[in-house]
Amino acid sequence: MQPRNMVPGSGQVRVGLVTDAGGNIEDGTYTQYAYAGMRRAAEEFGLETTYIETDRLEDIEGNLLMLVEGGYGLIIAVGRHLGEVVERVSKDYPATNFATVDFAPYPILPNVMGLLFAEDQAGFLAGALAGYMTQSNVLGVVAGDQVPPVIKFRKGFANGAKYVNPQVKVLGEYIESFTDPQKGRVVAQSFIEQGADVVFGAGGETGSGGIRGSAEQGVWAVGVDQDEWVTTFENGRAPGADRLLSSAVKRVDNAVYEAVRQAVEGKFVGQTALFDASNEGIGLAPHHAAESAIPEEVKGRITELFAGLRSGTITTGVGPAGEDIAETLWDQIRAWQWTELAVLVLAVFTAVLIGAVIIWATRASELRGAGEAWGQVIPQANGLVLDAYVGLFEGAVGSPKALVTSLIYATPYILAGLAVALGFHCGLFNIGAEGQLYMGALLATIVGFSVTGLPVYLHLPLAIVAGILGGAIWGAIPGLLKATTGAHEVINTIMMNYIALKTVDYLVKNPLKDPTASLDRTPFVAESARYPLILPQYGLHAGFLLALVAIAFVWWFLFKTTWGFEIRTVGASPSVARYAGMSVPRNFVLAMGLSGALAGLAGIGIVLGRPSEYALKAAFSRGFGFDSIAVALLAKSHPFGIFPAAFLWGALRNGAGLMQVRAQGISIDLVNIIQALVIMFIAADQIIRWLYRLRARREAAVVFTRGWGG
Amino acid sequence: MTVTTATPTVSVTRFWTRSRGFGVFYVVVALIVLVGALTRTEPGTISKLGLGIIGKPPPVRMTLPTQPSLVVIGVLLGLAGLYSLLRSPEERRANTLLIASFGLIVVAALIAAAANQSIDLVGMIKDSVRLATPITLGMLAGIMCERCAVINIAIEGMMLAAAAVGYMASLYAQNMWIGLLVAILTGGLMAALHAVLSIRFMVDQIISGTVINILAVGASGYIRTAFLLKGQRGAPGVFPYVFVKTPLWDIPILGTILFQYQPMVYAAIILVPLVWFVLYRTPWGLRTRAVGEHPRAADTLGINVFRTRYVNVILAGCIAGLGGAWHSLETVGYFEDLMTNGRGFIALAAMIFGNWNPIGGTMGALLFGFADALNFKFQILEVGVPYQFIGMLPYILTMMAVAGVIGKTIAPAADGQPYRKQ
Repeated sequence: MQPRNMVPGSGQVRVGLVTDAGGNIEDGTYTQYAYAGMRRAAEEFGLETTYIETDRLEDIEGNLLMLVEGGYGLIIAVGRHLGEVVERVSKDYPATNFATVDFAPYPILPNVMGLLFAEDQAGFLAGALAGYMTQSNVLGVVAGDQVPPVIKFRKGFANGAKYVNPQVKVLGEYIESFTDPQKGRVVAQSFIEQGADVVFGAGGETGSGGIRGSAEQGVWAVGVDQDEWVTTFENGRAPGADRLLSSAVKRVDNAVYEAVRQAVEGKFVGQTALFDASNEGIGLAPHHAAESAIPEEVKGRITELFAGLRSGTITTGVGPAGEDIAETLWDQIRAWQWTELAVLVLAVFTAVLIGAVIIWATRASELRGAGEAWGQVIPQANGLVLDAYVGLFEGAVGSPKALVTSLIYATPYILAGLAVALGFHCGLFNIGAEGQLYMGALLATIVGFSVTGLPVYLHLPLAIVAGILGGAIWGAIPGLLKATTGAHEVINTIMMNYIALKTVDYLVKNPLKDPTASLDRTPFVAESARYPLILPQYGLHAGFLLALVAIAFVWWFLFKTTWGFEIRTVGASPSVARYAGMSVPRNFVLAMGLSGALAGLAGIGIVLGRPSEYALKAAFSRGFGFDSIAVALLAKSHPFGIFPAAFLWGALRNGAGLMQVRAQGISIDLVNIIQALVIMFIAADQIIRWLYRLRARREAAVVFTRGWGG
Repeated sequence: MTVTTATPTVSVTRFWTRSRGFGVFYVVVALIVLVGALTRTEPGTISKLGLGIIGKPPPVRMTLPTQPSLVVIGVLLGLAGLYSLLRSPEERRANTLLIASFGLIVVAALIAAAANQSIDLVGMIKDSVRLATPITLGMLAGIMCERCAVINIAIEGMMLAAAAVGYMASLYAQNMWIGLLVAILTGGLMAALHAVLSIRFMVDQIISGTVINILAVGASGYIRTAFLLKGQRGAPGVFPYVFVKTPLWDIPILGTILFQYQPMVYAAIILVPLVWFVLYRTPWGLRTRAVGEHPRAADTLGINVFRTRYVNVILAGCIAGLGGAWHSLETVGYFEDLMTNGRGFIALAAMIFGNWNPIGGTMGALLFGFADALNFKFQILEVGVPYQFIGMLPYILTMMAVAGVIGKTIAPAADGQPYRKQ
């Protein structure tokens, strides 16, 4: 299709607009608004403009390139599909500037300006208005295709309505087209039949069809994107115009105008611009003929809500990509599926059972090899299984001392498990807890023995901070490499484990070696740098309490702070986070750094907390990297799940010693096998569900890693 | 109306080009070489590099004054670094500089190692090839898997399990060839588990690989305590040298470099071109690569995606099994805990290093083998440079390779994604 409606101008910048597939600059909502913004700027600055209406998705690229080659200096790409093409091709045309409506490329491209809107806020205000106006307490939403802007309108509307009117029930349906007014009417009709007395149309012409149909029957209607009084209801001439309450406005025109203005003034830079309540990028349209039907009190409340959204004291409960934000712990507990817990318990149980079979088979094969009869073999093999597991149990929790020792064992697992879990929340697989733990221990030890004469309340925190820093840096490096080069963190964290091990090996054997010691170890840390003992007779140290604090901290951080929210969004879907204008690289570095800090804290606790250590040895820990993965998986990455998971692991490790004594010939490696089986059964939970006839999982399995590309 | 800028703007040209990144690397290495040369070596020290036959006087021997040679190399590296940093040369010139600089670094390492003593270069090459063998085999296993889009970080675990079980079989059967067969099968079995988990159950492939790795550590340790430590029978030894007592063995220089190895080395030498041939010159290889790049399209063309993946992953495990046999049956004739010592991960790095191509991967494996050989040499010769640092070299090189510093690497397009039939 050729560019149409060329409007000549005197300015130097020529501006072109390309619509989404099936888009129409007189659609009465979104595209028309973008066009209006472009024209407003063009008239003001005397620019030449043109537009192309795209027929099919396949034509998008060709249409964009037609304008590029036609020498247009700024191209307005309306809609997500175009944004994706612009992201791909804009690098080849550095001289052309692009503005993408409803799409923000990531990383930011120097010649692309992404224009995003807080549709959830506009929807929230419209929903609040509808929530006040409804008599039946039933509302309907005729939504377009299920893409982030529409999802945000719909969910924002529902949350706004419920915010002012908890009894309200919001019906809604996504329709896979923005250009099907007839379908919109049908869906609206079905809502009305279910009792809806306010209908919100959020889906281009489809939604407009829905609200026109509703208004014609005398049901309240709410428009979307721009003031539909002017467009859909033909300045009030269309039937039912008096039933239009308002429209949830998204100032696409202002955004496009702003992009054109910057291009004209030579200030155009690649960036992501967010238009929300704080810069009047969203809002409610005038009430027109419905003005008198809306009580003044309601108007006042809506103004208050707008101010609240603007200042941030009210949130819509909808994330930047349309996801629900479950904020309270109670929400999380309610969202928990209890069969999941059964799977975890059964995974551990099955692994322990297979461990029993392995012990049994080991003894049986040995005795059979020695020529014993089965009559002798079976009771002996059974006895060994019993000895082994009774030993394991008694060694783990059989006495107060055993129990407390298990807690001491669990302490580093808690912290390293939190480290891995935090990485998982950002979609990162940190196998490097081992190396980060070594670096944490190393720096804490150095500060611990080289600094002297400080009181404990200064020296200990100093050592801890040094160690945390060591772990954080060691963790942040693979994060940074992933962020800048896309190098996969799994390989890099494994490599950094070896580098850390070898560094510590060298330092402990050479420059940091305690010359008076026969073993290769550093000097002992000063008493002022040791964790205080809580239960001195059992060796329980304050590091355990610190680990509990860390659990609470990580929970608070992940679920209560903006940073944590960003990390979880990146983990759920980097493209969604990108859409929302979040920096994916920044979050990779932040998450890996924090993860490393937690792992470092685990290492610090071992050296500064355990009376048997108090100095760094060459190989003071083995296998934490992998153990902590098991802990995090068992905990389903939830901070509160980490404690029971870490305790189980600590108890298994602690009990393994007594098991080995009680059951001759069974090595503590059995615990490793059980551990691998637990991870396997949790990762491939279909096996457990099939074995125990449990219900299949509703959602798809979590994917942590997506190839090497990052 | 104000516009909030969510993220700061970026300028059009990045200052930190690949060349400049290398420049920093060269300058750092140059400083290490210079400082090392000036503080760790005596002015009169001499390095002798020979090309010789063990037990006979080397026919060619190069004698270099250690300190001046190192200083010259340090200065050259420094110049290369400054040139890269300041001028940021184009791709081709940067690559020439890269090869030259790595060559200089290798020479510097050899001169430093030979300070006050003599190093037999032929022996170094032989050791490098020998030590590159498990990495090469693991690299091939990785390529076989990833070319059909199954990520394999479990090479380490496959090798470890194969080393343990293969050794156990050779001990109980008193026959190392049965041991070899069992090692291959064990590798295949571990791979089959990986295949079932990642293809049938669609477990995240990195988690599945982690499961195999932990399982291998536990199972091999358990087997060692339960079965290997109590064996009264002695081990049947290690694989014999293939060309011993043939005239080939005694050829000067070439004989040492080519014919003084045990069977796994030759297995690797045969498998590298074989895997390359299968992947790039046979219908099976074409199908494998199609499944790795675009499984949906391959499926439409009638290729059985699942079968292709199962067969490739299990064959890959068998190759990793050979690598396991190298550790226990070829090198030392016993099994010890964690004896694969991270070589499976290094193999993965060699694979990425070589851009998922067997030939390039072999180059990577040889480089890592050389670093390994140098590590041993430094440990034995007690050179001033701590052997731990030489030991770190493969890991640092790996990180550089993965970060794309050494050329851009491109994984198979569908790597790591489970396939779901529609």
